[in-house]
Amino acid sequence: MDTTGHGYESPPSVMRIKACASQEKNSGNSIITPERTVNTIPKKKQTALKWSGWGYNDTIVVCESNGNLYMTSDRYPHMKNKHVNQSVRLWLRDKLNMDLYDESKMVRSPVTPQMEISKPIVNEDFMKGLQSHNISYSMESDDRLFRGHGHTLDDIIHLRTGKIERVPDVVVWPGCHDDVVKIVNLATEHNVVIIPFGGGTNVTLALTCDPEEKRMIVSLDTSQMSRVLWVDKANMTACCESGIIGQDLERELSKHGVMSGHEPDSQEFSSLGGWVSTRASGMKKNQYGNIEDLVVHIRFVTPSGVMEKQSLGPRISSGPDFNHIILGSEGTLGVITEVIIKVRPVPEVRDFASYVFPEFQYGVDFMREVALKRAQPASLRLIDNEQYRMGQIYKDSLGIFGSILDSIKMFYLHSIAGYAEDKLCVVIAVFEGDKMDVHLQKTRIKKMTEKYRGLDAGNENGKRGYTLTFSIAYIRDACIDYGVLAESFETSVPWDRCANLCRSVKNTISRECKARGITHHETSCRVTQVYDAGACVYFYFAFHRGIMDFHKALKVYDEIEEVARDEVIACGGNISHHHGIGKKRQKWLPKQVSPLGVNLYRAVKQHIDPKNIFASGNLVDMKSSL
Amino acid sequence: MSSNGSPSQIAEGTEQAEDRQKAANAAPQLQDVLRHTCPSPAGPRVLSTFRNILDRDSCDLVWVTKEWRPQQVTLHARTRTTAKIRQDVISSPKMQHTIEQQLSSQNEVPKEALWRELNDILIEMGHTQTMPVVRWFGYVLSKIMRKIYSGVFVNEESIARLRASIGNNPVIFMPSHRSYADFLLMSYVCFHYNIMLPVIAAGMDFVSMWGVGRLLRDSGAFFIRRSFGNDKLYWAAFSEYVQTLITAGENPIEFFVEGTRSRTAKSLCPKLGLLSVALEPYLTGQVSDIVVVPINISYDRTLEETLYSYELLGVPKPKESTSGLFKALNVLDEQYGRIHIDFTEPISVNKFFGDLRSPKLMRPLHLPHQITPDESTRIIWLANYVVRQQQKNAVISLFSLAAVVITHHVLTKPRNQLLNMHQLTRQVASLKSAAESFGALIDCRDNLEVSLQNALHIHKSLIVTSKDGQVQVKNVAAAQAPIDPAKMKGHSLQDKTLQVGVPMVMLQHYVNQTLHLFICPAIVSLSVQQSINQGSGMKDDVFARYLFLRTLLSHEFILHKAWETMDFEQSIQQLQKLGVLDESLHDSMKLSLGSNSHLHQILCQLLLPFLAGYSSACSTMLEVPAGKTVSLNEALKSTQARLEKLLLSAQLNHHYSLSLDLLTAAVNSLSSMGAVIKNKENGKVLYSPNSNRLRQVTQIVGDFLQLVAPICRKSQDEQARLFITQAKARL
Repeated sequence: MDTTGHGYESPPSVMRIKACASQEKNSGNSIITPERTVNTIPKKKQTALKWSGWGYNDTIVVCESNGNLYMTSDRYPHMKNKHVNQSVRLWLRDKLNMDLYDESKMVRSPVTPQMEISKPIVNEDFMKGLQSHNISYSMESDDRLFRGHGHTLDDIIHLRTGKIERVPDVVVWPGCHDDVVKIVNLATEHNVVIIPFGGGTNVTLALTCDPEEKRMIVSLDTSQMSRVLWVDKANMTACCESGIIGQDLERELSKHGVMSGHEPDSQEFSSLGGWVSTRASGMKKNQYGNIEDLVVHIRFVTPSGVMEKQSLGPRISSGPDFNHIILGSEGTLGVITEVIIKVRPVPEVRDFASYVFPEFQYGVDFMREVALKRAQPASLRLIDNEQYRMGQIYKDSLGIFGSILDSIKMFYLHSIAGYAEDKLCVVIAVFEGDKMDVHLQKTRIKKMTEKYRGLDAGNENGKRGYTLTFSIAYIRDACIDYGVLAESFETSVPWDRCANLCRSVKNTISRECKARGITHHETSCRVTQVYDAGACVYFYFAFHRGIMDFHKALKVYDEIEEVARDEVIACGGNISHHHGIGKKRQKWLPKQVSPLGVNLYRAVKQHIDPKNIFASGNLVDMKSSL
Repeated sequence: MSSNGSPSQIAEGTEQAEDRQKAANAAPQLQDVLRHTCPSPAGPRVLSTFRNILDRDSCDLVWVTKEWRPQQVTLHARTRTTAKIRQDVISSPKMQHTIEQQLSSQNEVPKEALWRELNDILIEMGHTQTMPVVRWFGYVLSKIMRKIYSGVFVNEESIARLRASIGNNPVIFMPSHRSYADFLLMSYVCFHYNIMLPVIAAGMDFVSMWGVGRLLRDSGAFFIRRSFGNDKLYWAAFSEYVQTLITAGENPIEFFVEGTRSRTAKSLCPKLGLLSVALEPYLTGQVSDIVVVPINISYDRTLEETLYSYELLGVPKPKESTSGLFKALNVLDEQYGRIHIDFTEPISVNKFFGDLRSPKLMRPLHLPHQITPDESTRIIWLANYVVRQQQKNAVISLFSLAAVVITHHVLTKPRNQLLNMHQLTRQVASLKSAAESFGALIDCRDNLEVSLQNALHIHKSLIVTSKDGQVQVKNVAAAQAPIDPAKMKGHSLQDKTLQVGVPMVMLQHYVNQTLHLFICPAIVSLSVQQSINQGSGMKDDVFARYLFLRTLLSHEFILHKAWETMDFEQSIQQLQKLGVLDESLHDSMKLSLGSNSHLHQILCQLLLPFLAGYSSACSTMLEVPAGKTVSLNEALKSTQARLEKLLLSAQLNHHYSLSLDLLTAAVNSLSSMGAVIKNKENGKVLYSPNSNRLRQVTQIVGDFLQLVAPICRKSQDEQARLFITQAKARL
């Protein structure tokens, strides 16, 4: 078998683009034939991105023995020239047994995969069909491996330890909607499994392949469907292909003077289709909305045909909204090919702010007040004490003058304002809009902080806090290098149960660690979204594996996370705010949506995809009933 | 057995059967939970882990002025002022809802009046803990305690265990309640060990005492009216007050699950009201767990011993007043021995209940919470478990064992046969080893003889040892003001009855301290004997009789239904080990008596005052003509009258049967067995007999009593006077 398709060997075929374009014209969806977007991430993703961790190959976090901390590329300007001071170092060593000054303790991941990838299962008829339609594909091991995982802690550990049981057998790159229709029809005809692939940034084991699956598994990579097909400034909408990733989307839209404003932490790598299929949420949802608020129209290819609404009107009352079957379907029903989203003008001003509160409860009360007054700026996050202290590793390295100024500030905070270093928490805000709006918003927020003993900590801290979000996943990888397993999980919760949930989950984790003899661990949380009726809470849990090997440590991690999730639910939280279910949180689904809800989903699945072509196994394990 | 039906059938009214079924259904799961929550302690409890906190390096003044940095109950707690707590209660969504939505609209009362009333209630209720007062009070207490106690011994292992389990969740202290001293002791101990001082739920009776109410308030007591019936506003204010203390988690909350001081020294059946209110924040998911710490406080000698005896016999309790308190200060001239305090294994409510939070999450927090039947089952279970833990962790004084022996002697031996020290020591020794095999920790630090003499010395106002080593009971009927018959709570007892009755009931106070150890074995022993007498001895038959007695006495002792099988099996094993039951196991389904007939007698005889009292209560109720009703008070009076007659005519010789607590329990028990019917008329509770069932019960109780009585009826004529003679000899 020729394991090299003609995909990236030959330059993108003009023929195919034309074919696609002509069909688009026929379908009447495009007004002009747009150019192909220049993708930031190449088709062969592993040439730019790490095979076993987060982000770009050229970007890793380094901490030198003198405490200087930096990233090895210029991609993250705010990560230059940081310095980890002694007190932070000791705190981290105490909490997580992680000495940042001691690089010799690090075990970096190997640069290339060390494992054997099993030979692909091949369905000849399907492959013939694929070739006859002239659709790009690859059977190379590293392409297949890259699409066989997401960024769940389990995924990363398995990659590093070479324990990957099953990966897709072939990766295909459709170029447009019609290509997808052809692939899905072929797969249905020849009983081949399709797993749609967007950015591969899920943290729910959503891309993990079932080792028991005997059929050929096709990874349908949407990355080459990345065009902005049109921008309609009269109605402020844009039609985009689903494979476009966040940073490319904003870049392309900005050429038209607009933006989507959807900014999840994974924005650099995750795709529009991925956001829709997981019900994603962005940091600035207060201003621009979550993905379900942004979506106007979806084109959805399933084994039983294409589903789409025939209207661009802003709202329809026509029975249940079937968009909500697609939103959150996690690749189990079909492929999202094109999405029409709302866009906004690029804001005139973007400003940041940060406030310090003496205790977490004050911070929560403040957030609640903001929600009540509906005064939320584009983004508003409350960072607890543990995370505030963890964030101290990002402190700029200061000259002598800087350090003196810094210590004066700290002295004021602790001694005069009476904020205890081990109790205070921080709120970070992002404001977007025209000048007057931003000024008004800022004044209003400032006023509210005063009511809850908040102190202004300057916009520079706010800016740093906000942009650092994008580097957190890199830090996670560095933690693993030090033997520290770390992962986040999130939930949403009504306001009156929020503080107790944060506290109780931390207590529970600490208790569970103690019961398992784990001596070095840390849990922190942040309230990342405010809603009228409640908040989104994000937890980070990390522990040092000690003498456990990675697999044992991972098992322990999963056990503890499971108990923590039970506690989240018992405290009035839910199974996920925006990460989704995947294969990691299926256990709680029937309890969350009622058994009838699960059966309803099963019925839909049975009707749309009776042969279980989209057999990623996410949401509900269909094997148990099929 | 009587032809009127088997005891077990009688024991169970239909509703009881249902209850049992419910308990049985819940049982397997909860058994698991129980096993889970109470890992067997590392080793048996020993006296060496108890340390006398009065015996400290620093002088009292240095001690009370030490720097106060207590271990926090929850790390997130914010210290609130009294005014802030009041404000929090008033502004809580629940209170707002109650007043704005419910009370005001239903009763057409202006809101402003309700808010004013609420404020007044909260001021009346609120605690005002202030450290200077606590320190000053601590100083005075130290002085007093040094004078009257020879030591306050605290199990330091249990303190370490407590420290390890607090820090994350609200904490409730639930001490046993035998004396007013309990209030102060807990705070004293917490101060000593640098644990956040508890906020204590107290009855309103103190508030009216000039100075004392204020003092207790400042030490951290808050006050709850004894009864507030249907006062919805009061109920809402009180529950919100308790719950804000729980959710804020700044102090441990302390309350007595028995509801009031036990005059009898037996544990009272737990009250559920305050406990349910305190657990509500857990049940509604406002807090993730609550740590409940049962605490045992054991006194060698109870301050109120004489007072209790009078009260139990029906002589009214004087109203709490400050002058009364000063009068009572003459207690300070006496010695009261040691106090032992043991914080038992902290209970995680979440583990105990098996996480009940989730179903409540769909309800907003301000709506009143209805306790579900399932929750209520568990709360009852928890309450009973708490009391049992208190009992299990008691330290039994040697005097209690001596009281058992002395009572037994007084009741069974002819008048001229006095008990001498040698016999007493021997019998106490054997009883001690029996008690120890039932899991008791006995306060015996030196050799038994010396310890016993010391123990008797503390009680020299009740028991005297003559130079020739004869042990006798003293008539303590102290120079009380002449009792106004009109004020008697029960039947107006004759003077001579009181003269014997008071010391007898006092002695029983100490016998009672041991009964939680002996009650199940005693019931089993008696059941075995009766079963054998009737020609059976089969385990099933014994169990049926055991169940009857257990049900009968379930208002008297902590005999939760769910434990009936467990208790039965354990008792049989223990009795076999002690030789009360025959150990030879040729037929495991058949039981027979063993060689230790003396212990068997003692055990059975422990039941005498109860069976006699219950039997009389049955007779009294039987005499109520069909269609008529009596109030509880009338029933008590005529039962006491009947018992006094029996005592005077020497048909009965144990004055403890006269105890009003005992007789009240009897009526309640008959009522829950369906032998007596409880009616509410115009808010008054009235009882009428359910003749058929009552006759059956009377018959069975009588049969049991027959078995116990002969043991003690050696010379009937003199029995009744035996004690008097002894007592008078020493007057």
